[in-house]
Amino acid sequence: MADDTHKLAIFRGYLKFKSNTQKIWGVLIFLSIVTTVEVILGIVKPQILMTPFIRIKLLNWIFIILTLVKAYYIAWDFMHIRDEKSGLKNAIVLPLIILIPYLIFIILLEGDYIFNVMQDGFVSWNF
Amino acid sequence: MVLAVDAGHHMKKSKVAFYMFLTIIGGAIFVGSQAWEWKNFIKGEYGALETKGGQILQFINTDDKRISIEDFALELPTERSTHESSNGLWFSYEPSVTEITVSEVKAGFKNNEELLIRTEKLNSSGDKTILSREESLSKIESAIQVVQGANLIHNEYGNRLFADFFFFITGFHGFHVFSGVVINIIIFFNVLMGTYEKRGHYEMVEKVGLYWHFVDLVWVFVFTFFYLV
Repeated sequence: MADDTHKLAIFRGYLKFKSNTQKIWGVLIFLSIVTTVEVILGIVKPQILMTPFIRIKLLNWIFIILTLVKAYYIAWDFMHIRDEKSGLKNAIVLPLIILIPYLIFIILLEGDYIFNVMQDGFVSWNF
Repeated sequence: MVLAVDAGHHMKKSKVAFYMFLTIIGGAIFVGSQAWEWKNFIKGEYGALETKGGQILQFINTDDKRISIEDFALELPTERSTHESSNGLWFSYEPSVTEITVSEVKAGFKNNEELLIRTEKLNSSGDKTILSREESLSKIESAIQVVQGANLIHNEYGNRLFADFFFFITGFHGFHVFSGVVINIIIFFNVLMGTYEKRGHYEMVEKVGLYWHFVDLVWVFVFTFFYLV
């Protein structure tokens, strides 16, 4: 980064740290808590969360959202995107916002096709 | 790693070295546990049968728990041995023959009334389908091969495509972590020798840090989609 100033507030200013070192530890603790919650949910698998929502189980939606939260904090604080100028920030984030949904779309389409071939194809997969 | 980068901004050589060292230890632990996990998957735990269509048949007892084929397979006298190049003109490579044969598993299955077969096919609630005893008995006739462990061709845990994806993705990620550890070690020694102290800045530590955290970022997604979902 150009200068040595760090933005020390996370959670939109709700939590402020005195030094950059403290912020790093704080983010690390936060990420550990999120991971622990994920692992506990994965072991317990509460029945309420097993109902499908937009074709994916609620539990898996929670996992995906928590993963995106973790990815945000790793990129923003550990890879210090938070401290960069907004031009550089957008140059990094915008291509990802366009390319990742595109990749998801392609993979889902392709995977669905392969599934259908196995399911109703001329050659049955279940023999 | 970030702490090392931060200490580098303040030109604190011993602190950079200390945090770099911790990062190397953490990376080594990660690669080590992954190696252990791979070893277990490749070796396998329960074993299963594979049908002509490449479908995996797993065996479960009355508590819906998987049961190892070694626990119920009958020992039948057999003369099948690994084909070796000394025994034939038209030798093509044959992997080692599994210790338990298909017929041994079949005989053991017929003897054990409480055993059932679980197939790969998912039912409406997303669980693997468990066949009834009669269905199981007819299904086991289509088995042609014993599968123990997982590799790129066979997978006793489920669909072989999943084993392919699993080994491909975690293998590449593990390799990147390994190369990250190697780069970290190089940087660690550079820090110790005072290379960056003389240079006047610790930007190399920061560059390696970006690589390291990118691999970390990848792991966050790998963990979700291969271990949690």
